[in-house]
Amino acid sequence: MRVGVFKFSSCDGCQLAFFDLEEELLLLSEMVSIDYFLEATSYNRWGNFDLSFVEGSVSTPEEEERIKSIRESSKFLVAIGACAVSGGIQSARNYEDFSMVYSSVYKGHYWVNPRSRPISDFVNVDLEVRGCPINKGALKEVFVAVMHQRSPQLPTYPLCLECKRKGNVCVVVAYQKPCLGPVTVAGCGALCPSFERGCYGCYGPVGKPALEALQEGYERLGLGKENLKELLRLSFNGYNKELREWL
Amino acid sequence: MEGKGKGRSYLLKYEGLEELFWRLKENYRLIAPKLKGGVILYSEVESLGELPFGYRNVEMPGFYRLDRAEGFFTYTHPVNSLKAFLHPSELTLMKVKISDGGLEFEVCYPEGNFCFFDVRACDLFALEVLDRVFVHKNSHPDSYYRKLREGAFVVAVNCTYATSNCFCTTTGTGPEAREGYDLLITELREGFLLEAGSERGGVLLESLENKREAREEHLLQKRERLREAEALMERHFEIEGLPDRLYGRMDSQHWKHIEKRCLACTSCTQSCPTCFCFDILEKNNLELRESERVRVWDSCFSPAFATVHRYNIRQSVHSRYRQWLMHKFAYWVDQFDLSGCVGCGRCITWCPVGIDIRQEVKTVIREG
Amino acid sequence: MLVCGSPYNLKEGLVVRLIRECENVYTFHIATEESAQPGQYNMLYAFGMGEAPITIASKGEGYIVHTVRAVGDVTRHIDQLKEGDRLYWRGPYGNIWELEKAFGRTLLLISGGLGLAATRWVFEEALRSPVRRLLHLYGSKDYENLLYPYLYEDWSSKAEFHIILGRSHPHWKGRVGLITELIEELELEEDTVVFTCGPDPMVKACVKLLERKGIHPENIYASLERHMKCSVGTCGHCMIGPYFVCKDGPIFRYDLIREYFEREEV
Repeated sequence: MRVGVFKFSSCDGCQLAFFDLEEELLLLSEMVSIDYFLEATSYNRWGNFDLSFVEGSVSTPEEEERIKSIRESSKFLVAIGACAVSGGIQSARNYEDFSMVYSSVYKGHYWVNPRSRPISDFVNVDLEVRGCPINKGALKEVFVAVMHQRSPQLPTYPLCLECKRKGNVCVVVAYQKPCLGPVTVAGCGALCPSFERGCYGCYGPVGKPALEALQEGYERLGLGKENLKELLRLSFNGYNKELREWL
Repeated sequence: MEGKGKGRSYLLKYEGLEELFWRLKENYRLIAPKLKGGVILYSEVESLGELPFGYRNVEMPGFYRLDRAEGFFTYTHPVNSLKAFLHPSELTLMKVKISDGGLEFEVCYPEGNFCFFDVRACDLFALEVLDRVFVHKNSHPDSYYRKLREGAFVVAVNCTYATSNCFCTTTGTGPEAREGYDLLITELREGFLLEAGSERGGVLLESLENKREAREEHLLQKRERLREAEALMERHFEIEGLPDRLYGRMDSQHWKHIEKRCLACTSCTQSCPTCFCFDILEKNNLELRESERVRVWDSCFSPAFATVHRYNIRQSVHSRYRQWLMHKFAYWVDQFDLSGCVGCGRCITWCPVGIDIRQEVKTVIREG
Repeated sequence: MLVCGSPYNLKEGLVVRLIRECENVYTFHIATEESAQPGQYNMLYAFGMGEAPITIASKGEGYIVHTVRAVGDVTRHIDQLKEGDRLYWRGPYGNIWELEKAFGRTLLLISGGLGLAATRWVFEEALRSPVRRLLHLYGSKDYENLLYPYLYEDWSSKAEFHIILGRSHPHWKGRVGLITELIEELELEEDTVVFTCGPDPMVKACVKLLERKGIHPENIYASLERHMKCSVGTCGHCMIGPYFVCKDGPIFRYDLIREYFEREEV
């Protein structure tokens, strides 16, 4: 099986999840052929990928073209991480005046699109692995699933379920801290609530998130509609298709 | 029985309670309420002093806080319930390996040997509910649950306080612990009243050194203390005949009103001491030589819970809420001959947006 | 080694015969001496994939029959088994068709698609029983997906067995249309007993029509399909109203289930 790992506008953090696999990475490298992975090797072979992982959002005209050619060369395409899935933290600019943002960052002329977009805005994506960054467990699950022809068991349920399974105490109720858990998909192991912090939403929204209900419910925590919008825009997933309209 | 001590009652001072604790500690893993991160949680404890004596949980819809109070068993039930120990949130059922062209199975059983110390009437009733679900009313008794449950020693405590979310007088499950315990503690002015509910409880009680015979006045005091808790709770609805009234309200418009507030976050079901639904996952290694069958808590609010051919039969949030409430108060009675709600109010406290099931039941049966 | 007692313990049996029915559908004969009755199902296990509830399509001397369509992970892997391979399962689970109720009366079986697997065995049993008149209607979406074509000749010679296809095909000389058209044409006594299994909308449409023809829902039985994980009434996934489809069903007397089956999202 030919595997490719590709980077777009991103911090490289999700690619590190491959190295997090440690000893399993060695086993994996015997089972599959990692043909393209710029962060890992200087020897790269392009084309005919059975399984491609794409990190990062599409932010430049060049990336728009590149993602299409990767799609054409890949049988199964996986978007990894909040940038590829939703547009990433850089999509916060999508809700701002672009010329202001642009001039505050760049002095000269660069080819940067006004919007940072998820790759699913340009090509068909076979699977999304959520997170900022993704975790190695989910990555391993994708390999197991693709290699052994089964559907990946990645959560679609809200973080609250995972948080409760872990035995955590709800930070909203016990500490009156705003938490995006109820509208965020599980998978991180409820990392932030385990340390008595509200969920940032880095795994992105669940399907049909109950945003109106959340906003009304959290008003007593002093969280107005604008504050909730701000939280979601900075959740690394603010430009996710499930959130765009509401934001 | 009388001779073995069941039915006899004693008065213990704190030293007597400690003696009891150490005697139990010799033979069991002690699970008791404990202060953790500003809340009270059932945890494994090493000494009686770890119990949150003198703390008081203040609960309102979507709100929890601890205050201080005079006395020992000044709080109600912990945040989590005994479900976490008897029906663990993640449990490996078996390991499967490929061998000689066939499969080899290794059934994995968890270690129990629990003593549940300080169980309130609602949670005691929840034990009875779970016993029926997993064992007594199940034609294929769950050996995993049974392994953890069998032989568990239960020390119940009568509540002398109730939070504003408690409604055990409505569900008829408390505040008095009536059955299902080995020993029962009621905190009185001059000490702790201990009553045995089983033979082994009686034997243990008889063998304690630091105790004295309780008198009639102590039993009267117990009644008074229970009334203190009762007085803090109002009756929200009539539990008798509730299933029939709910069955007539399946098409109530109110379900859709709840959908406007409900996050479908699953917190109510996960906090509930009787919600038992689970999923079974298959965890594989990379080479697919080994696989583990793992049981994890699930919820009727999960987006894929009732999926047939990739389509969840309950698409809308209001249908999921209806499933939950109807199951708890109506279906459950048909399935297990008792209500699934024990009146602990955990779902009210731990709903991040404070949906109050008592109000929803009232509105559904009133407005139709 | 199997430790006694776990409700999830699996049994092992050899695939002694394999029949390709159509695209993605295979029938397996699995060697076993286990007892089971028409209407029941087994949980079939695919290593590393999980389990799926599959109706017992028939039973012979020393073997049971399962027909499996590859629709999910489990069934896709089971369908890759060959003769001589080992299959793992647990069961049988669920209730049975109440065949005795039809003794001395007319028994009408209605099946749609793979639902034929759920009515096949009870049909075979009914052929040997004192049922007065035996009818079996089978609807298939197309010619390519016809199940058990090798049994039709025998069945047609022994009972009124009729097939209707969802669309025409050059090799098909029979009826094309909806299964309700076949029911429409039948002369049925009021005390006719009906057993049905098929997609939910088909079952609902058939019942509606049968009632119009004077058949009481007390005499109609439907085998339902719901999401099942444990099959022993503990995981909660298959609930429909107060019933667990896995243990109170999969077969329900229609008047008892109607309230929940016909209401949206129950």
